[in-house]
Amino acid sequence: MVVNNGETGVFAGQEIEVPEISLGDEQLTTKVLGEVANVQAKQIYVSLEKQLLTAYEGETVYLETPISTGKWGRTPPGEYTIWVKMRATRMEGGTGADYYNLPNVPYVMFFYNDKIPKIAGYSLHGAYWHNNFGHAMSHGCVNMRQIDAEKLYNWVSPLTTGTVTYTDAENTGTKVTIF
Amino acid sequence: MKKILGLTFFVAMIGVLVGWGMERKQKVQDKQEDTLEIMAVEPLPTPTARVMEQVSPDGRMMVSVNIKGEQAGIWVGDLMLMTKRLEPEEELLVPFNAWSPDNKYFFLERKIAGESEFWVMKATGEPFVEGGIYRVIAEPFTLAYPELTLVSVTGWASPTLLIINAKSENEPKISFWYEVPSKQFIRLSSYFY
Repeated sequence: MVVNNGETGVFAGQEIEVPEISLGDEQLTTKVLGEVANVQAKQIYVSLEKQLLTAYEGETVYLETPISTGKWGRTPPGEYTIWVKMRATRMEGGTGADYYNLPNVPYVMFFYNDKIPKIAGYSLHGAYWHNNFGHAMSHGCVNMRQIDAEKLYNWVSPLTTGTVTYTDAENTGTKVTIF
Repeated sequence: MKKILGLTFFVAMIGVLVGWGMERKQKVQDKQEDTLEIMAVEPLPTPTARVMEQVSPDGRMMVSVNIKGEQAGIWVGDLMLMTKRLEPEEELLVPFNAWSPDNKYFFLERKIAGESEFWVMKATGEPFVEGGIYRVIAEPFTLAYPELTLVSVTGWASPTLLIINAKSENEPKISFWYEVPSKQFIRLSSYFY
């Protein structure tokens, strides 16, 4: 994971001020596996039609918030599993007027399934460059307000063990359903 | 003689104390009657207070509209930017996507008699270069595009670009960007749902 403080981002043909990330000032919300009961009961649903994310723990709603899915690129419906999460990363892509280059994208939770491989790079993450949640606005990922992304990031599995956390046999990923 | 003087002084003191006690009792009764009188007055109707607020996407700023009776106050944190007397059927709403991504601007929706217009304000409360601490979007849009109807302002595409959805008789879905510093409307080739 690389933090790129002091850089300028590009989105929608505009230069974007990039929020700085000071990892030294942050206290990572790390948890011991045994501390969190019922990890398997966590489930995230993303409604493309309503542009709404709902996170459940059992039958209890942990978080419900407007999000932004694909406008310039499709967000594929399906059943996914989070396989890695990163405190921040750079995202770059698109061409011409749709070109984007965004350092320090916060609270990134990558997901995959047997049809959408890990290398495809789909994720849930915070977005600091727009505030149009509840409306399609991304290149395929699921954009969230930074405050919502942070809350979700600290809740989902794999449980955070550092600035980058991969799943393993004991620290499995939360399921994500996009419909 | 001394005994008579002492007895007279004692009787006089008793009289003073009894008089003071009766006067005090009367005052207490008067006070109770006053209180009863106040309680009997029909209370004035208290204006209903409502607060609408929205936190910025990074959680650092808060805009709120406090409405009490006919009076609305627009606040950013502890800073009151302005107050406004609301007309009958007038509402000031704080949309979910009110804040610009960099927290420098926010927008509000003003509804009057079912019609919406949108205000942009600086988070500092400073006036825009042309004067006025808020800028109305609907009026200049209608002047620039008289054939279109402004339907909604959904949020911010970037720190300075507001997303506007409009329609005409022939085209139900047209999107614009409104660039706040330049006051320009930019027609887009794709629609922002």
